[in-house]
Amino acid sequence: MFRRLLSRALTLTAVLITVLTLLTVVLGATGYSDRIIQSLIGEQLRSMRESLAQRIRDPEELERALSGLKSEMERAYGLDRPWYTRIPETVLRVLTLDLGDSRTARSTSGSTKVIDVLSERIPNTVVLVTTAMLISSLLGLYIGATLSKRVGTRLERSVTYLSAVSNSLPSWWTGILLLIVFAYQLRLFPGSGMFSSPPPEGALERAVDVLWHSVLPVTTLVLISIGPSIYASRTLLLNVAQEDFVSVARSKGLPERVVSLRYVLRPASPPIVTGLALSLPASLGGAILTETVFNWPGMGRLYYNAVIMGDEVLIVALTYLFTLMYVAARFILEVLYHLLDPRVRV
Amino acid sequence: MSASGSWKLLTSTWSGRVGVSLLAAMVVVSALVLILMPLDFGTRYWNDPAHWMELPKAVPPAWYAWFTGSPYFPQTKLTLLRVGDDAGFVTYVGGLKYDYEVLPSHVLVVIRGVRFSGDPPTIAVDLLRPDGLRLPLARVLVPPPSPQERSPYVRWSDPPLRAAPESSQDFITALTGWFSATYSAEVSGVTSRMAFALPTSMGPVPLKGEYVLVARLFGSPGDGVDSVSVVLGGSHYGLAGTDVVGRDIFLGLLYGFPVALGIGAFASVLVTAIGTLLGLLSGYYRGLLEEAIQRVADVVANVPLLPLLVFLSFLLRPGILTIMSILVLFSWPGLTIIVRSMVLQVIEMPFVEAAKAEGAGDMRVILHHVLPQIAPYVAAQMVFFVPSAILAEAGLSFLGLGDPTIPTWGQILELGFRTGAVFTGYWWWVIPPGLLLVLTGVAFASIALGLEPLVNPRLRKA
Repeated sequence: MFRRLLSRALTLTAVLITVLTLLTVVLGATGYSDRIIQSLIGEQLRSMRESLAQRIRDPEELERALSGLKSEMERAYGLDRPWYTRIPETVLRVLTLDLGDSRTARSTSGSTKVIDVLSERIPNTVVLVTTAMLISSLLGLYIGATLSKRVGTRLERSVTYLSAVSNSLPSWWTGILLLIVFAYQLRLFPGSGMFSSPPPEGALERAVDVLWHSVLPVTTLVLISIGPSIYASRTLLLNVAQEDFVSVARSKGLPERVVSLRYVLRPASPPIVTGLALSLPASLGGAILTETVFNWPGMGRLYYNAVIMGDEVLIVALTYLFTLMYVAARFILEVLYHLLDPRVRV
Repeated sequence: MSASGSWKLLTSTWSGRVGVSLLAAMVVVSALVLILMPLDFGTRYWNDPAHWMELPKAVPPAWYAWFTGSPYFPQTKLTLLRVGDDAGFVTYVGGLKYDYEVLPSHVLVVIRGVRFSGDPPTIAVDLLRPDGLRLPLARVLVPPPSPQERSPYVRWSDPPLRAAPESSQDFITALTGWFSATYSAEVSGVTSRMAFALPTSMGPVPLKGEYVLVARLFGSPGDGVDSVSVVLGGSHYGLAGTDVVGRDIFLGLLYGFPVALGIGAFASVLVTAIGTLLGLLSGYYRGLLEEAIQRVADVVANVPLLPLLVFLSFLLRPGILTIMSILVLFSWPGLTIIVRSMVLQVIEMPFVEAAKAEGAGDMRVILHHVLPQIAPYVAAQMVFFVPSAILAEAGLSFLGLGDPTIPTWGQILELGFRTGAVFTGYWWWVIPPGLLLVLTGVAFASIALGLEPLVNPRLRKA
């Protein structure tokens, strides 16, 4: 068991490093990283010029001092070396969560440190995505189990069809529809953000406020992910239900409850967990689109803004964190899988 | 199972029939679009605002007026008739009976193909209102010929000259002066639609009655225009309405059909080919090759796709083909992992051993004995991947990272959302493109569902 888990851990670490290297190589090869560092240096030089100009009166001497500072900074940022020599440092820096400063985003306390901004945004996304995934997988399992006992009926066929088809609902479009109907026509729910402005006083009122704001985004995520969940549970349970040992259990006269829980659901649970693991990237990626539609202040919205504003440091940090969160979730599910499936434990 | 057998199975189920007919309809529409619309529709027309000046901006589709019973004015283009040549000028006249409940969205003078031989002519277009005002809509000075040009000179043959009345001070002073003198109404912010308005305390309402349009060209004998017309913008337009640029959304939606199907087909064929090939190789040859392919597949399968796609599309600003190739590059592992495990089962079967014992080469065993066994599954996966590819492109377009030279459903939606169509209630701008995306997904999902018994024989009993 530990050998298997170890090999999974190694694979997932390889994923992290691959993604990071890919990011830094693309940023370097397109000259993007050089441009950003140059503008950073230019900005710092401009502010230094003012303070220096008060001490150094002679304009020529001032220029000399500035160009000395410039080459010093270029060396410090590694601009005097070709971009590919900077890759290992960058990868190592990000791996150890030394994420640097963002140019565009700020935390509520005004800090530009990427780590501060992220620690504020990550919980918002995690709450959104995990709530939605929990609802849709539990609901999906329940509906799928109910359906698998009614194979061939009209209800089963139409729900199966609907859930297979719901796979093709674009999350952002579903979100837009919900916005049009529930936020702008019926005015039942707020159209954007996470809090009312100004946010209400008191912890309880604030929690209710967040809950109220999260209804539409969570519904959107559930709507797009419940279909595959129903479909997968129904098909897997159906497969197991046709196994001989289930018929044997039934013919032994075991109560139907025991049969469906211990003889059908139990053996079907590992693949269901796998299915959950496989739907994770879609949910996390989907957060980028859903948060953009609902203006939800999470990682996805931050990522979109960082891309639009060209905030390199933030882009690298966020892509890394998306991968990290995904990899962590994968690993947790892997451990769960091992606990559920006795065959891989031996 | 044979090809004809699969077809029978597919069309025997309800969902299979739905999927096949939807897909057939989409293919027909795409074929017609490819035949009838220019291939460079995006760059030539869609992205050129001048091309859409005659159309009203951000109006709902025409059938919506009928549906809701709201007052309706149809898009009108009145071409004036040449009535006579007097000494020194040519006259063109047209008439219009206006008894609609709404004002036109805008008024535009369109002059096509001015031909002259001597001094450049001038053109004056006037509107005679039922209340007696002669309103100047356009005064056009034709640019003089350059020294290299030879007579006869031609101007504005393609594209035509499109003149907006409110851009001339004459029009504004004439109208405000008349409103204040005749109706003692002080009107500010005159727009071209007010050429047909009566000022009231409730705002401008249509002035009903007979209108006459007169255009005169002052020039040398023999000068003339190919056509002079006046466009009155409709209160509603076409089958799908227009966006804020005045573009006919219906045309954009039509053009999106072949684009969407092309994206889906391109990506899914490539993903299936790569995924199956690598799966076959690693399942059949085992050993180091298997280990290498499966490790790489494991890593690539765990990369979060959308963040990377967003990142790469933003930095590289690639064309649609590059975006799709990136998508393919990260999508093959799922199939490879499953195909390998299927191949492992197949090569243990007696008929494969028999073939090997008879001295069949690796190539022959793979192509004739292993591949047919996994083909139905691979085919179903190919169908299933099509909507994922289309949705991935649409998602990127929605984030503003699409290929700007090709209009897609995602891009139409993106512009709508960014312009605030959700708050302003321009439903015709955001609902139809999304609906088409969903419909495409439904078509392929239905086919895949119809193929399910083929993939999963246990369900055939059920």
